[in-house]
Parts: sequence; C-alpha cells; structure tokens
Amino acid sequence: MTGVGEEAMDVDLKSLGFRVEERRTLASGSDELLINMGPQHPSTHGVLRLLLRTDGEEIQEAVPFMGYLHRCAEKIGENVPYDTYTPYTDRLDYLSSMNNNWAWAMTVEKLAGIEVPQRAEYIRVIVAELNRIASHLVMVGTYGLDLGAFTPFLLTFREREEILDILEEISGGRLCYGYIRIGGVTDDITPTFATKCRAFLRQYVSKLDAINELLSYNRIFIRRTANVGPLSAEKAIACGCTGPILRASGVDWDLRRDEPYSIYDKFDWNVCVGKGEKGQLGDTWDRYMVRVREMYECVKICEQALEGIPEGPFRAKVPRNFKPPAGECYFRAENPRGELAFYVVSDGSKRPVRVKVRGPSFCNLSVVQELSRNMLVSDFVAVVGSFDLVMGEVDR
Amino acid sequence: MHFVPYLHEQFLSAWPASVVVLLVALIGAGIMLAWVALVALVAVWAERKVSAHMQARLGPIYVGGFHGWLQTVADGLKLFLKEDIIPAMADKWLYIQAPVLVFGGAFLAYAAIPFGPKLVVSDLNIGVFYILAMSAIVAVGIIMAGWASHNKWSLYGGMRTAAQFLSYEIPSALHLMPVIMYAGTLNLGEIVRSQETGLFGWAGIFGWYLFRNPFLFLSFICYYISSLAETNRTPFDLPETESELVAGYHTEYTGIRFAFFFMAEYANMFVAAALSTLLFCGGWNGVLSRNIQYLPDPVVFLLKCSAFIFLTMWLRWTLPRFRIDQLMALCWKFLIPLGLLNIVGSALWMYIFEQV
Amino acid sequence: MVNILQEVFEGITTSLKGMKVTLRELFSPGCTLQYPDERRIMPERLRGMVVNDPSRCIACNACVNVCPVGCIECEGEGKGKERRPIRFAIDYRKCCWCALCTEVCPTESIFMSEDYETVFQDRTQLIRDFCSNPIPPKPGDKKRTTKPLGVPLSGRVAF
Repeated sequence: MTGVGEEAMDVDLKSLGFRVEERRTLASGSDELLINMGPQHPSTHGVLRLLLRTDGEEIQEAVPFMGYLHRCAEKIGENVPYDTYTPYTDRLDYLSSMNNNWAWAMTVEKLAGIEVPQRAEYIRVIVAELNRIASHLVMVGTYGLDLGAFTPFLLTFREREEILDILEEISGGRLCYGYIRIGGVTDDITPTFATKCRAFLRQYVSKLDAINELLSYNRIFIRRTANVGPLSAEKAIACGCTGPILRASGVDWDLRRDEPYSIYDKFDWNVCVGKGEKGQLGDTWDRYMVRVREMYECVKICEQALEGIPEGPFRAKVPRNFKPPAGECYFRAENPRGELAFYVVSDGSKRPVRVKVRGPSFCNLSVVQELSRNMLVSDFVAVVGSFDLVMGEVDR
Repeated sequence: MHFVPYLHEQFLSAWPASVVVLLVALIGAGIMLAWVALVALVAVWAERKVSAHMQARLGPIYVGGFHGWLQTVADGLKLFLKEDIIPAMADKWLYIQAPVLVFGGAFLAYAAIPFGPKLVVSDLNIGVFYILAMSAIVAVGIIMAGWASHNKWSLYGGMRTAAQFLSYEIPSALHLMPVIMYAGTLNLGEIVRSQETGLFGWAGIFGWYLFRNPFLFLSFICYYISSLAETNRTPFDLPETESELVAGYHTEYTGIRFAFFFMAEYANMFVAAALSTLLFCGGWNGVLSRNIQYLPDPVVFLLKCSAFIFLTMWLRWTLPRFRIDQLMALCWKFLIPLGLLNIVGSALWMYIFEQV
Repeated sequence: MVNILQEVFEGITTSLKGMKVTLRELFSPGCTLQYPDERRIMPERLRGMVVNDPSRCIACNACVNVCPVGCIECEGEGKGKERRPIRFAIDYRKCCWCALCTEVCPTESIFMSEDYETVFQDRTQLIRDFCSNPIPPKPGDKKRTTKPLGVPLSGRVAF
C-alpha cells in the first residue's frame, strides 16, 4: 500500500487488535482518529473495508482492505470444463452477469476459433445492453441513497425489475443468468421477448428523464458531487481505470467502438465522455452523468438490434467434451464497470490450465486511496459510490 | 392561568393553592404526553405512507385493517420488548440521560403551544422564546448521545449536530424577529389574534403575516429552512445519515431508548410546524374572516400543521442532503445576513407603510 | 454575492422540479405485490429447484460431470437400456440453480421445477435422494414431449 509510512504502518497494525488500552493511548497521543468503514457499512457497496485516518472530518488517509468476498474463482477455473465455468463468471460482477458470460464466451471462442451465428450475436447484444442498463440503474439508485436522496433508489429499482422480468423470461434467472454460452446462447428468445423489450424501451426514456429531474440536475446533488474527487485523465490511464470512470475524465475510449467485438460496428450510437460541465473534468458528477447518458445510448443500441435480428440457429455446434486447441488467449470486453478481460491458458484438454480474470473494479479501487486525501468523510462516501465497485470482481 | 384560581375556589378550596397548581400542571402534562404519543403515532404512519406512495410502494397495509394505521403501535411494542443493551465502554449515566433530554426538550415545548384561543397548557407571555429555548435542550441531548456511545461514528454524528443545531438556532430566532415586531408581543395567542386583520383592514388570509410584506414572506421561507435544520430533517439530516454514519448519534441505542429518539424527532417536527403555523400562517384563523368560520379552531390549526408536516416529508423524500460545510455556509453566509436584512427591511416597511 | 443568490435561486427551482416528480409519483399506483396473497405469474423457463425423475434416469452421470459445484451424486446398476439409478442425491446446499444439468440430460429426467418457495427446517433435508424419495405423481400427468435444451415443463412441483 503506497503512501503509508513505516510509523503509520505500525500504528495501523496495532490498532487492528481490540485491546482497549491501546486504543485509548492512540486517541490521547494524537488528535487523529482511526475509523473503520468496515466490511459492514451502508455505503461501501459490498464488503469493502476502508480504514480511515482522519483529522476531525478530513481524511488524511484511506486504506482499502479487500478479500472479504474471495471465492477462489480463478483456481476453480483450473478444475472445471470450459462450459461449466460459465456460472462462475456470472457471479464475478453479479450485477452485469450477461456481460461477464459474454466476455468468457468470446475468450474461449477466440481460442478455439468458433464462429457464432448471427442470430446469437444479435441476441447477445440485446441482453448485454439490457443488463448494462440494469447495472447502471443500480449505480444511480444507490448513489442517490448514499447522498441522502431516498426516492430515486426505488424508482430506478422499479425500472430494473422490468428488465429483470424480461431477462427471466428467456433465461430463467434474475441475477445470475448463465445465458450466453460458448458458441451462442442457451435457448432461443421467446416470441414475446421482442414485444416486451420494445414496450419497456419505449417507456423507459421518459422515466430516465424523470430521474434526471429528480436527482441529476438538482442543485444540492450538484453541490455534493461537482468538483469532488476529480480524477485527471493521466492518472486514470496510469492507474488502469477503465469504463465510465475513464470516459468521465475526458478520455474518449470505449472498447465497443475502438476495438469492436461481435457486431457492435453495425450500430449507430455515441460514446459518452465527461466534459466537466458542472465543475472540474473527471469529478464525481461527471462519473455519475456518464453512466446516466450511457443508458440512453444503450436504449438506442437495443432498439437497433431488435430491428435487425435475423433468423437462424442460436448456438453453434460445440462438442459435448469441448477441447480447445492448446494455446493462450486474452480477450477484453466493455463491461458496465470497465474492461473485463479473461486470460485463458489451454493445453488441449477439457479443463483450462489457468484462468485469469482482470476485474475492472479491482483496478478502479486502486485510485480511491489517491483521491481521498484531505477530503471530508461525506465527500469520500460520494467518491466511493461514484466508482461503482462490485466486490465480486474485486475479490473474485 | 385563570383556570387555576377558578378551580381552587369552586372545587378544591380545602387544598392549598400550590397543590392545585401542581395538580393542574400534572394533568396538563399528562394530556400533552398523550397528545405527543398520538402525534408520533400519526406522524410516523403518515411518513411511512407518504414515503411509500412517493416511491411507488404501498407502505403499511396490513396491521390494523385500514392501510396499516396501527403499524406504529406494533413497532412501538416491538421496540419495548427488545433487549436493552448498553455498550460496555459507554459512559453509562450520560448514555441513559441522553434520550431523556432529547425527548424532554421536545416535550417541554408543547407546554406553550396553543391549539385554540384558550386551549393552551400554559399561556406564557414569553411563548416564542420559551419554545426556542426548550428546543435547544435537544441539542445537548444529541451531543450527549454521540459522546456517551463510545463509538466513533456516533461521535461524528454528535459533533455534527453540535455545529448544526447551535448554528441554526440563530437564523431561527432572527427570522422570527419581524413577526415579533409586527405583533409587539411574544405571547403566541396574542400573535395569532393580531393576524386577524391585515392589509387595508382585510381579514382572513390577508391577515396572515406570510402575506403582509415581502420581507415577512422571505422570513417565512428562511425560518422554515432553519426549522428543517433544527429538527434534523433532510436536506439537513447529517447527524443521522444512514448511509455515512450507520445511524449517527443513535447507532448504539436499542429498544425503548431508540423509541424515545424516534418519537422526539416527530414531536420536534410538530413543534416546528406549529410555530410556523402560529407565527406566519394565522394559527387557528381560517382563510376567510373570523366571523364566517365553520370549522372549530383546533381543527383549522391542526389542518395547517398537517400541511406543514406533509411539506416536510415531501422535502425529505425529494432532496439529497447537504454536506456539513455547505450546511454551515448556508447558515452563516446566507441565512444570518438575510435575517438581519429582513429585520431592517421589515422595520422600514412598517414605518413607511403601516405608520406604526 | 450574486453567485450565492444565483445558487440559492437555482437550488429552489431544481428542488421544486424534483418535488413535482415526487408529487406525480405520490398519485401513481404502487407496484408492490402483497405476497403471499398475490403472487407473480412465473415465466415458463423459471429455474426453480432441480428435480430428478428416477423412472426416466439412466444414471449416465452427464449431469454429475457437468455440475459446476458437484452437488449431484449418482450410483447406477445395470447396463445399456436397463441401467437405472439406485441412488441419486442432490445436495441443495451447493446447488447454484444454473440449469447446466438439465441441458445435458439425454432422457430429460432431470429438470428445473417451478418451485421457488423452498423452506427447510433441518439441514439433513437439504440432501435429497430421489430414489428413496421420488416426486409425487400428479393426476392427469401426461408423458412429456421432447423439448429443446433446458426448457422445463410446467406443472411439476418438487416437494
């Protein structure tokens, strides 16, 4: 952990025990407080522990501790066959499960040279973009909750329920779908899927406008988020931040447009980049607003994809005991939280030798410590919320 | 109170006067306690229903039949039956006294609130001053709760309250000054009576201080905002932020102690609404003149209070909260200078237009 | 000074806009279902609890091999067409409801039922041996037709 000096490190370790006398001497020695924004806290999304060293309300240092959700997903990848690993990818970033499945499927398809039928590609795009909307809705809702606006949380979750109903209809699950598989998708879409999708997308834009009116352009919200925790473009690139955070800092980079995979080059949509409208470029308002604007773009992509679904098979013929050729493959996809990448090493057998997951939230989390110097606790909560961390992919 | 000598002479002449005073005070306190419990019950239920419907939910439906109106009673019973936990390192005496002070401060203010021309427990000549002073006791209780819990998050809540509460006492008082100037008295009953006629002798709604002059209108808005900060309601609910400080100053409280804090918040909210009504919106005077008033006085008063309480709840579920330094900047850099300006402006208006 | 006034003015106008949205929501109907009195109509492909019909199972171990968490145990006897399971246990403590087992079953004996309201009083109930505890037959139960991968039938309940 950079930025923590030797003496400070000793103090940290000592105070992690629960001996009261130690805590008392610490308090009387200096004026600073060591506060644990512990694994159980209403606003560290998921089980993230943040040790704050504060001088009054100003944070001098915020040290993140992770690992509370470690489930050995990468090690398990060495013990299960390729198609069986799909449910594990679901549970990495459990809010954008379709996108995770898709990244894994594309990695293995690239390794084995499988061609996916066009119908499957279109279906994949539609469900992945719907899942992106759902994931961003969670961020918008919980971010409002962090800052004290209770109503947008429920309004966004009501919209998310509609999406989850649609995705449940074709896959059977509501959060962890396991729908996008190697070679295509599990099942064809139902006849009512397209109508329900269209109906949802039609009424969704006005709901998004209402949420904007309620939260995004509210002066109090802007005061809480503008000029708070600005992340410069150089720092974002240096720390490996990707996704909406990178775009909010002004960097015009979206994998779907710049390294197009699947059929993204067939659609007409814009990449949302932060412009520093309400304050400094790359502040939390930008990070929040990029996600809101991305939802409008997702609607566009979905509508275009729904127009153009061709007929055909929904899954390529993948043998039961699938054995890809020996080799290694790295593939990255644009997840709602950033760039999710899988690195697979295969030796020709039916189980991988190594699966490595590059989780976007893991790299985004590393910036939090840098950004949090001399910040009030309220601002820190706003910053952590704007990073939209999901501990499933930080800890795997 | 004229009531006390009357009672003494007619019914209880055997007892000394002081005992009769004490008896009447206890009965008054008992009635007010029942009223506070009722207010808390209805306000909590209303808050849950209003918040639910604003959030596309339904709120309490089940308990008690009609839209769950007994839900608060059920919750109160549940809190009553919970285990009373006092943290081992907590400062025990302060920890126990804090909810008493918080609830006591809120409750004491009810002594001076008139519900009608003669319906008041204690018709104090310094009514407004007394209510503001008693509301300030709540601040002490909250700071005690924050410190005594021996929990760093509660300490944050307590310290934020210390700053917020004490700062917002000043604009509260300053923005009430123009009203006092107009009425010439601190007695709440007299202030309402002086709102019976207004501009050009028109009665009813034109008598309300809200509409008498633009400085008073501004005063009203600023007093309302200050009262939101005094009662710890969003957008000023930093001391009890759920998302940052777990539960702020009442994190460590369980059972009936937590119930005290909870009731005190809604009791305080009613006091703030009552003050706004009495001082700015004509109290129990109706919209039309006093001669053609059909509803009884307390009903009109309670309707107006309910409108204010609804507005408070509406604001809570719409707006995000301020950060502590923005809150303090709003108070010291905006509301206090505006308050002083309002006093001067009101005085000038009175001098020029109303020939006082 | 002008800055502060502008901010305050903007603050009040944007708050009023927000209040308009909340007021509109106040008069819109709520979307809560009063469970258990009102229930959602579940889609056909709902992934409920995994259930096996030992009368159709041929103990080929395809589901055992494909399960990501290894929650199925199967012992069979016999050869070829007469192969039947003598013990088929699913450990519901581990099952992650992914439906991979239903896709690979050649006889469609294992399927995801409609049951999502699962309550167990005892941990021992979580390991269910379908050979000793078969699915109760429903009256009017028709023979199933073959379906594409992974689609369960409606009307079969687990317990």
